[in-house]
Amino acid sequence: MTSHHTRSAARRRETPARTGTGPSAPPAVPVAVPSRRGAAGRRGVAVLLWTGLAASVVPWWLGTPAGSLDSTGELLTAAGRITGLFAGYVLLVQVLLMSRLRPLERWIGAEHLTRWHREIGATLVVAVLAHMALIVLGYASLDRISVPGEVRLLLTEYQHMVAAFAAAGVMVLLGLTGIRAVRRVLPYELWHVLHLSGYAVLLLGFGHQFAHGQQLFRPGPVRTLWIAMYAGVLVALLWGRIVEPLVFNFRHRLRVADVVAESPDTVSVYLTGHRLDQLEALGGQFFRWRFLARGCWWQAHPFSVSAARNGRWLRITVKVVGRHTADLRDLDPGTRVWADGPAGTFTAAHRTRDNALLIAGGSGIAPVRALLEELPPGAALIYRARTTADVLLRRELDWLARARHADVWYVIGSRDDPGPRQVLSAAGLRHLVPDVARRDVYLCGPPGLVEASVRALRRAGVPRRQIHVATFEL
Amino acid sequence: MRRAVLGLAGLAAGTTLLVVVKGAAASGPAAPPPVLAGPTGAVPSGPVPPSADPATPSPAPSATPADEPAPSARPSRSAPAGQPTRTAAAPGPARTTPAAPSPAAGPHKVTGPIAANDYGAVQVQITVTGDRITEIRTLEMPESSSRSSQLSARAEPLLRAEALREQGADLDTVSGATYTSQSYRESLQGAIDTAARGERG
Amino acid sequence: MGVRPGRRLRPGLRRVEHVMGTAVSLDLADPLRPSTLDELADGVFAWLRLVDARFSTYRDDSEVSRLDRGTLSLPDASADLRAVLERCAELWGETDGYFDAYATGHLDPSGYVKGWAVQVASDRLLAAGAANHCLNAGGDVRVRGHASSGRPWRIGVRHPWNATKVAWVLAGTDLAVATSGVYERGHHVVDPRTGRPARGLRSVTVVGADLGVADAYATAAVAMGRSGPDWLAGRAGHECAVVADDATCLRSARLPVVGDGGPIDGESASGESASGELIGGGSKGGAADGGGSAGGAADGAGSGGTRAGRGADTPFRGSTHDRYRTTL
Repeated sequence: MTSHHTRSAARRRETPARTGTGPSAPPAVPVAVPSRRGAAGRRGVAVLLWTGLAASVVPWWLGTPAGSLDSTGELLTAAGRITGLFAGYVLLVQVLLMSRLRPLERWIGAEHLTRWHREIGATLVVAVLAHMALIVLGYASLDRISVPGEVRLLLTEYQHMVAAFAAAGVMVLLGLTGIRAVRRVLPYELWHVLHLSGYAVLLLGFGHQFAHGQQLFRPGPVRTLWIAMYAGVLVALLWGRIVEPLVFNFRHRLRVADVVAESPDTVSVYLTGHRLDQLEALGGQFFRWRFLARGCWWQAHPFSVSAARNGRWLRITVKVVGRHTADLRDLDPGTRVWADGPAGTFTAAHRTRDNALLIAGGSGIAPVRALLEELPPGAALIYRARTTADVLLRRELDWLARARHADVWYVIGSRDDPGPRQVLSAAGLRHLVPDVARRDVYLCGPPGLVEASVRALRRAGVPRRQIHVATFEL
Repeated sequence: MRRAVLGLAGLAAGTTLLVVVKGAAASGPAAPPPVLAGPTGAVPSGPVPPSADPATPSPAPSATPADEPAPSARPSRSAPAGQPTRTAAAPGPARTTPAAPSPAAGPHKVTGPIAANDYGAVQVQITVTGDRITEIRTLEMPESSSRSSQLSARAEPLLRAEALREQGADLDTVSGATYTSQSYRESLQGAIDTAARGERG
Repeated sequence: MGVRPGRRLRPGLRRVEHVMGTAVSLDLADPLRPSTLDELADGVFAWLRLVDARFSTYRDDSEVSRLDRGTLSLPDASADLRAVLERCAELWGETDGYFDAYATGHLDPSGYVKGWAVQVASDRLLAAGAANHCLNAGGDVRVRGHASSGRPWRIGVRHPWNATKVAWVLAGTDLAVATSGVYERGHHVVDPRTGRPARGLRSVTVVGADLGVADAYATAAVAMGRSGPDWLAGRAGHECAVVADDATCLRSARLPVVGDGGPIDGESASGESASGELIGGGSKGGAADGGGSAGGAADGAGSGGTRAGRGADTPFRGSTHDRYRTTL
C-alpha cells in the first residue's frame, strides 16, 4: 500500500501473534544490551602506526651527516631513500591492516580498516614510484651517466633489483584495481585474486631493501627493527588468516540447519553448531561465509547475521542477485560451513547516544533486524521497501517493536513516489523522529537510499560521528 | 579520496622538508673539526713505520672512514658494526706520507684520505718540510676525487698517449685480468701453454 | 707426451695447474736435472696451494675466513697472515684508501695475496738456484732471467677487447707484471668512495719489482677510475700501461716495451727497455716476506663480480655476489 502522507504511513503494530519464520521464535527474554565501545582503541592504534612511521624514517635523519647533501644527485638520492623507507613501512602497514587479526577487528573494525587500507593505498603507489624515480635520477646524476644507462646498471649489477622493479610493476597494477571504476567492472572473485598479488609485492621487494637500503644493509638496531617488523606482520597474517579461523571453526563447527524463503527473491539460511552460546557476534556484524558444498566452496562472501545471538542458531538473510546467492537456495541441511569473523562495527556497541534510529532498505533489513534486538529500548526503525511483498521479516519486526518498545515505520513505494521522498527528507525525518539529531543513526540498504538518507540526516543536524553506515565493499 | 590527496601532499612536503633541512645544516660549523688533533700528534719524523702491533684495534680518529660513511659513499665496505679491526691502525693522513726513503728537502704536501665525520666529509692536507709538519689544512672534499671528465694529461711528461694496437708477436706469457679456470682454456695464455706442451718430451 | 720428430727438446720444465681458482703456468728455463726441476715445481705449487688453504675467502676453514668470523685471533694466526695484513694496511695508506682489504665488509686480501704468493715463490726459486723462470698465476706474472730461447722473457699485455691478441709486448729479466681489468669478471672493482663499481678504465697494467705491490696498485688504479693514471704516474719505480673505456691509452715512457713485431736479440734493442731491469725502485715492495694485499675488490681469486652469472661460472662453493654489498 502506498502512502502519500507520513501521517498515514503505516505505523504498523500487530497483536502479539505467533511471529518469526524460523524453526523457533525469537527468544522471549530480551537480549542484553551490549556495553558501549569507544574509539580509544582506534586512536591508540593510529598513534602506534604514526610512531612506527617516524621510527622508520628517523634512522635516515640520524644516519646522514649534515653537509653531505651537496649536489643535485645527493639531494635526489636522499629523497629517494626517504620515500623508500616510507613505502616499505606503509606496505607493511597495509598488509597488517588486512590480516583480520581479532584485536585489530575489535579496536578498529572492518569498516575503518578497509577505509584506511584504501586511502593509504593511493599514497603507497605514489611513494613507490617516487622512490624509484628519485633513486634512478639521483644515481644517474652522481654517476654522470644517462638515466637509461643507470637503469641498466641497476638491473644488471645489483642483486634483487630485477625483483624490485617487478614489485613496483605489480604495485601499480594493484593500484589500478583499487580504482572504484575498475572494481565495479571486474567480477569480485577476479578482483580478489588480483589483489592478492599484494603479497607478491612484499616478497619481491623484500630482498633489495635489505641488500641495498642504506640504513638496512648493515647489521645493527635499524636492521633488526625492520626484520622484526616483517616478522611481526608475517605472524599477524598467519594468525589472523589461518590460526584464528581454524580455532573458530573447529570450536563451533557450523552447518546448515535449514533454508527458508522469506520472499520470492530472498532466502534465510539457518545455521547450527557447537557452543554457539560462546560465539561472540554482535547484531549487525557479518561473517565471511564459505559453504562447503559443490560449486560454493571456493567462494567466500560476506553476509550479516540477521538475528542477535541466541545460543541456538545463527541466521543470515540474503537477497538472491547472482549465481552464488542462488546456490544458497539449494544448500542441503547438514552442509558444513566455514566462517571467518565476526567483523564489523555496525553494532549497538558502537553507539554514541542512548537512542537510535535505524533506516533500512531492501535486504539491508538483515543486520538492522539484528541490531534492533540489541539496542536500548526506544529505538525507531524506518523500513523502505518497494512493495509489500518486499518487506522481509515482517512479523519479527512487529514483535520486536513491541518487545523493545521501538517504533517501526514501513515506508512502501518506489523511489520517486512523493511519500517516500518526503519521509526521507530532513523535514520528514524530523517530523517522524523529532530528536533525530540526538540519536545514533544506523543505515543499511542500496547505495542510493543510503546517500540520500545521509544527506537528509546531515541537513537535519545529525553529527557525522553519529551516523553509522553498513558497508559491503569488502 | 580527500584523505589520499592529503597523504600525498604530506609525503611530498615531509620528504622535501627533511632533505632541505638536512642539506641546510651543512652551513653550520665552518671550523675545522677535531680530526686534526689526531695527525698532529701522531706523525713521527722520517718514514712512517707501520704500527707495531696490527692486532690492536685502534680505529683512527675520524680520519678513518668510520661507521658513518659519507652518504655520497654508498659503500659496500668497512665496519659492519662490530668490526673494529682495521689494521690500518695509525691515523689516516700519516699513512699517506709516502714511505720514501728520505723526506724531500723542500716542503711537500701530503693529503690524507677523505674522512666523514659529524661535520661533513673532510680531507686533510699536511705540508711537511724536512721532517716536520709545517702546515695542516682541511680541504673541501673534492666533489669526487676519482672523477675527471677526461683521461688526464696532467702527468704528461711521465705518461704518453698512444693508439691501442693489436699484436700477436711470439710471447712467453700473457699478463691480463685474472681469468677463471674456464676462460683460461680460451685465452691466449692457454694457447701458449698448450703449444708449449707439444714441444716438450 | 711423445716427442715430435724433428723438434728438439727444450730444456727446463713447463707445468700448468689450477690453483686458487685460476690457471697457474710455471716455466723453468734452467738447464737443471729433470728431477730437480720437478721438485722445484712441486714446491712452487705446494706453496700456492698452502696459500690458497690459508687465505682463500671461499673456504670456511681458511685463516682469513676464521679471522673474519672471529674464531681466530690475530696473535694466533700464521706469520704469513700477519705480514700480509700489515702490508695491506700500508697499501691502504699508499693508495689513499682505494686499495682496501675490507672493502666488501669482510676481510678479503685476495687482491694482494695472489701477487705476493707468486713473488715469494719466485724469490724461493731464485734462492734455490733457478734463476731463470717465469711464473704466471692467472695473469700476474713474475719473470727472472732469460727464457729457453736465450732472450729475455717476453710478456704480452692482453688486449682489453680481443682475447686472442695483446696490446703491448714487454720484455725483461727481472720484472713483475700485474694487470687489473674489467673484461673478465665485469666491473667487480669497487670505488671505495662511492661503493659503486668503478668506471672509466678497462685495463691497467703495472710493472714493478714486487708483484704483490704491482697487483695492488693496478687494482687501486682501476678503483680510482679516470684519475688512476695520474696517481700511477707518481709511483716511483713502477711503470704502467692503461687503457680507458673509450680505448684511449696511456703508458709510461719508461715501460719496457719491445718494438713492433720480430724477435729481439738478447738485450732489448731500444734503450728504454734497459729500464726493464727495475730493481729496488721505491722502498716499498722488495721485501721477500711481502705483505698483505687487499683489493678494493681485486680481480684475484677472491671477491668476484656482482653479476650472479659470473659468480656461477667459478668453481667455488658459495656465490661470489654475496661478497659484495652496495647501498642505495
